[in-house]
Amino acid sequence: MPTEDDEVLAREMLQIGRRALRFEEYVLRRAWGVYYAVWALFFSVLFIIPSVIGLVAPSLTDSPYPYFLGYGVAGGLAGWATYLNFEKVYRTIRLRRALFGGTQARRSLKIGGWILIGVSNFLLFLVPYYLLGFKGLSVGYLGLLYVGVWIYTALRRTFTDFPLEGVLAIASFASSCLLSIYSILEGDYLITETSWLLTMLVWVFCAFYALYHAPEMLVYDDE
Amino acid sequence: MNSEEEEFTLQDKSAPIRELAELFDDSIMKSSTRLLIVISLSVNKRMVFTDLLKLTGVGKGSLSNHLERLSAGGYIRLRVTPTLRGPRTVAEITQKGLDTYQKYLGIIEKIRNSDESSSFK
Repeated sequence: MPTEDDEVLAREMLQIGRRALRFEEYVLRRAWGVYYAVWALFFSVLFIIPSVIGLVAPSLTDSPYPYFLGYGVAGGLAGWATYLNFEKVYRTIRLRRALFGGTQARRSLKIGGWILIGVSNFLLFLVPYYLLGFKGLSVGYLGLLYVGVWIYTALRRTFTDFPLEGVLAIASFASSCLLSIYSILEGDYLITETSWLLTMLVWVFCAFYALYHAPEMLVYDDE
Repeated sequence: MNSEEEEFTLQDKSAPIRELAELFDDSIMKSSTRLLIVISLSVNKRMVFTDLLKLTGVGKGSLSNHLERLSAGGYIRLRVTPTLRGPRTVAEITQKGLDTYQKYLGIIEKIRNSDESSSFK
């Protein structure tokens, strides 16, 4: 039978876990800030790559391969940042679940799983492009909407209060995907470019906002 | 709740608490600050000294002492990395630290479950 001391010990152990979790919200908010910054850089690369190809190898501007190569390398780097961020997210969800219960945390993916997701995202654009031509890219953007759901789930399961920059980042990303689909089907590519430019700016703002407000998470309940 | 049910619930809860006491058999882990460090390092894998100060809220000297004890016990590994702002101390979790964390998670889940089932009753 547990004594009063045992009960105190148990309560203290839970309190320590809650403090660690609160600190994790601070660490994660900074990590998400870096994540937004890296992807904002990736979006900017989307605009820069055509100019770079035109400058370095003008004869290749009509070939899709240099574009896919450029986007693949930039996407790979952004994917690495995603891997680091989401690994931390999954470990935090595991701690939160132990302390408060709730949905079973999905097992953290091994590096191979992340590479598979990255390659699948790439193929999501490449395969429809070869099957349906340029309009096939709209299929890729439609498929990319799952990323918004993914980010939403990760944020909801790691933060006590859903961060504002998360709302902005998801909304801008989803809008750009939908506008890109419309733009590709209508043949008005200016909409795609403008929407991704705006998303890039929003994500830069989100990065600064997350990094600036992260220290606010360091107020502990037990103090 | 009749006395038999009450007895069952209390025994239910005493098992994870006994496990918790076993976890603290090692004197190094008999400190809430050191346990906090092990938990946080298990989630983050590695942390710099300044972040550990923010986490624990203790002074620099005290934190150094806690880290050295954890390092001596094999729970964490300490290394100094050169940066533009000068050398920084980085703490990394070891397999022994991760094992302790996994045990902690298991025990906490059991305590929470027994709390939930007793409130249900």
